[in-house]
Amino acid sequence: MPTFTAVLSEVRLGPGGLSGALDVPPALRPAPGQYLLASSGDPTDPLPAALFPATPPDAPLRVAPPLPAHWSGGMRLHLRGPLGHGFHLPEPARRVALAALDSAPELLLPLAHLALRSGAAVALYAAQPPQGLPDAVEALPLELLAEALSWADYLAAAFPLSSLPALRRLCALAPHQQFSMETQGLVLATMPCGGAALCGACAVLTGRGWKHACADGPVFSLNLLEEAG
Amino acid sequence: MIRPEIPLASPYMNAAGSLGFAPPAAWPLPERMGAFVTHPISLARRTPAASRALLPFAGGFLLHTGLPNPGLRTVLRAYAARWARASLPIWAHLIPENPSQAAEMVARLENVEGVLAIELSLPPGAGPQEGLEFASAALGELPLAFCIPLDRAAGPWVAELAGLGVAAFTLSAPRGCLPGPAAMPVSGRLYGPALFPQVMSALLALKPLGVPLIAGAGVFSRADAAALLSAGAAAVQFDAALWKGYI
Repeated sequence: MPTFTAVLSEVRLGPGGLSGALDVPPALRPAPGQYLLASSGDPTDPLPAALFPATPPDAPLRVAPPLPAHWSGGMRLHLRGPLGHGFHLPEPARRVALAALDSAPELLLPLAHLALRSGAAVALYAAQPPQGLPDAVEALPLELLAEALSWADYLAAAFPLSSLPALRRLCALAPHQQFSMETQGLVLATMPCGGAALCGACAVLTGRGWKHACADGPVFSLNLLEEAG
Repeated sequence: MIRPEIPLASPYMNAAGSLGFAPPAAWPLPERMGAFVTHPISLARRTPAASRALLPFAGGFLLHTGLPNPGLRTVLRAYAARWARASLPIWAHLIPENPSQAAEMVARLENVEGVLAIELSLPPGAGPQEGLEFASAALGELPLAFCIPLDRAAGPWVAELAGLGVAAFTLSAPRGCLPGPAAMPVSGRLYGPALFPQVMSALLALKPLGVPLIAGAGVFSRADAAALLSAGAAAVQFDAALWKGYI
């Protein structure tokens, strides 16, 4: 697994916490939903943090909030990755719904750009629209998410695993009811080992047994995720 | 009593649970890896704990996962061939639930090519007498490294363990407790550079027993490793430090 260093710059504080820019070679950039595992270089800082892209693959890389609160601009980060399985925008998707629940909507920005470029109509359901949201994306409140199920042909969401029941409620799904369209969810879990150990901290219960968000995800089909996890 | 020698190609190792079940393609130190310690293996499959948690504290973190693993039989099916091909000694880290499981697991590993040592951890609630019974049951043809968590590295039972003929003591991650969600206490293993003074202290306290000591907690830098080796550690194990990809 490649390891490399990059300088964190243009650190901004937004509603979701700190975000920043990283000068990362194109081959090492995470695709939408993939991540880099980053450490500050401070030996007393015991845990690396997962950094997700907030910009499309051909734009300078910004990483989504929240970065660790003690990180600052100019800091050289040690990085491992790109790691995990990201989003896969289905070829025929023409109406794309994105939903950020209890998470930064910036996580879905790269996917929004890709969907727009493919000619799809895009709506983002979030508590607050992110900075840099393209004008062509319709920003809607999460409370309207159930409507997306009647018009979208692809739904992508970002949420902590503990919010899966709330996501299903927002989508007005009955218990055990499956989504009728193609869906994917970026499961936000603490992934301290980044797949190096399969330590179990990010274990996710799916219809195909226990999976690791760090290595098998962090993007899963929403129909595969089970609430007991 | 003849103490078996621990198989090590160098004094730098990984700790159980830090690098999975098979040696990694890359190792972040210039010195070669002395041995590879597997992820903890139980006799039967273990699923993740329902209340998994990772809780940071100053200088470290508490991890509670339930040590999920597919069980010894599945692990052997998946990894025995890679262990046989490994260019360094494989230490199988076992987490039996009782002494008879320990004996059964050790017996099944004795003829597995590449496995040159057993490292044994006790269940969280096991007392000193049970610890001695686990160690006795796990003593077989393979050298046994017995894990002593830093919070239990004192008392007469450690000297008794030394007398049993274990090949080494691994001074391993202690357990602790932190308030979790809704202030409910969460117990788990502790990791981080904040443990360094404890591992150094345990190392010095147990040195007179004459058992090779492996410092397996709180090692987060090359300077930490060098200090522990200078203080008499036979080897050092890096745990979560390896997840950063550099040391």
